[in-house]
Amino acid sequence: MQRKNSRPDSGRRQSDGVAEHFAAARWLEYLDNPGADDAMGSHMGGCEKCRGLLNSLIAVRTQLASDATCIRAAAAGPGEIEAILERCLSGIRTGSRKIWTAAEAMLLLSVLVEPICGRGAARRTISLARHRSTPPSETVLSGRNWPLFISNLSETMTSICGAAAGQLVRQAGFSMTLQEG
Amino acid sequence: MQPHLAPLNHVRLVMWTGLALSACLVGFHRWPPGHSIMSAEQLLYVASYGFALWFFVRILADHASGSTMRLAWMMMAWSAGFSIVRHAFEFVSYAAGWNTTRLYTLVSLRQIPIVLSLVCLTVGLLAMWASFAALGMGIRFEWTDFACAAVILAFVPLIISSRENMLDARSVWPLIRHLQSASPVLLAAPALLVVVLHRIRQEMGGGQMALALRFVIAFLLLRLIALLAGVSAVIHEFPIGSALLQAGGAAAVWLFPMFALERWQMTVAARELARRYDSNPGGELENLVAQSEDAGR
Repeated sequence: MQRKNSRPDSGRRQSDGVAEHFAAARWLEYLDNPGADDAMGSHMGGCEKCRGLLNSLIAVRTQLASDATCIRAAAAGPGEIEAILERCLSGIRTGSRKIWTAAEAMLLLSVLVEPICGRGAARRTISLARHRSTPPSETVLSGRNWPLFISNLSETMTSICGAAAGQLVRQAGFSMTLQEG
Repeated sequence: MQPHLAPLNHVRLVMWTGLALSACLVGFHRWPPGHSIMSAEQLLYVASYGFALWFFVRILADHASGSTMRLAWMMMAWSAGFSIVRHAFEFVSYAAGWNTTRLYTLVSLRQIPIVLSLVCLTVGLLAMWASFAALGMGIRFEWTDFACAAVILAFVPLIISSRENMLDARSVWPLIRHLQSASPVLLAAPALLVVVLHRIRQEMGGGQMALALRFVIAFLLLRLIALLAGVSAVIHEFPIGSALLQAGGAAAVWLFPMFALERWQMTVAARELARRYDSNPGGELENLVAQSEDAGR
């Protein structure tokens, strides 16, 4: 196994307040296989900036995976793909991206749709969508079936409140980054 | 004040003005004695149903083709359309003086759009119920709901017993007389659905859709009461009470487009919010988090 330097790559610049202690290629390699680079792993334990950057990269990757599922499901056109990419970039730029648990995200969606269809209807639509989105072997919604859940919730909202409300659920639901698993 | 809702707020103001005008015109339609200003009232009704039709067409376009809710809004649009035909015809009848010369012939044909409008309204409300029932709403009732249904049903024999006072009960055409006789039942059917809509509204627990339903519930109930006031011989012995009830019935006509307006406002607000999520998802999510924290307090 190739032994990698435990020290940050020399000559890396520090810009925009982001720690760039390693080359981009090494970051990508580490993201794909964290176990293969022990040196970088131990550096993460001690460097807060690099750890922050790593978390941010993981969040973006999760969002991209989620959006890709969405695109495949909806057979999105080029314009829509562009909008999704713009959303990802906007999240990176503002640094406001947060990773939610499925329960937190459902609570937020409930707050979103309550002014439209009321608390009771929000509870029912979310419950119905969750029931439709989880396989019989699972009882709890997870990040993995979040895209399916959002599609089902959007469909249910559309059936009673119209396409605009359904679209709102899709926009908000796919803007959230969920924990995997 | 949200700028995207400003045009709708102007329309709402126009509707409230129309409601007040209609109520005043009908309330005082016997004053001065012998003078009828009913034709002006008919024009206001045409405007009211025109607004309703305009909004219903937009709402149904917001629902997927073949969906039950789209059918509901489409039937309500047809109902508004037939009501426009009916009131435009009545306006022409008054203007041409047919209401004195051809009351039992030509004028009695108004029963055809009246019945068609009521049938479409009933089918529309049933379709709406079916949409909510798919989510498990409006399928469990309490004893108060059955009591309300019983009260509404009690109106039907009362109105039927006074049917000789109905507008077209003396038409020369048997079909028109039959249609007129059926009107208490045709009016009671959507009024009975008020109980279901009220239950759904309560189960919704607030929100813009529930607000819209409140208007259609008031519309259906007030119309039934106004019909009772119009045909009951007893109420005519109390001119002020009769005038107030009939004014209420005239005002009720404007609750129908208000129902459509409130429902359409939901679409406009949802579109605007979706647009904001598209342009700045991070900022909107932060707002949502703040809202959820407020709700939790």
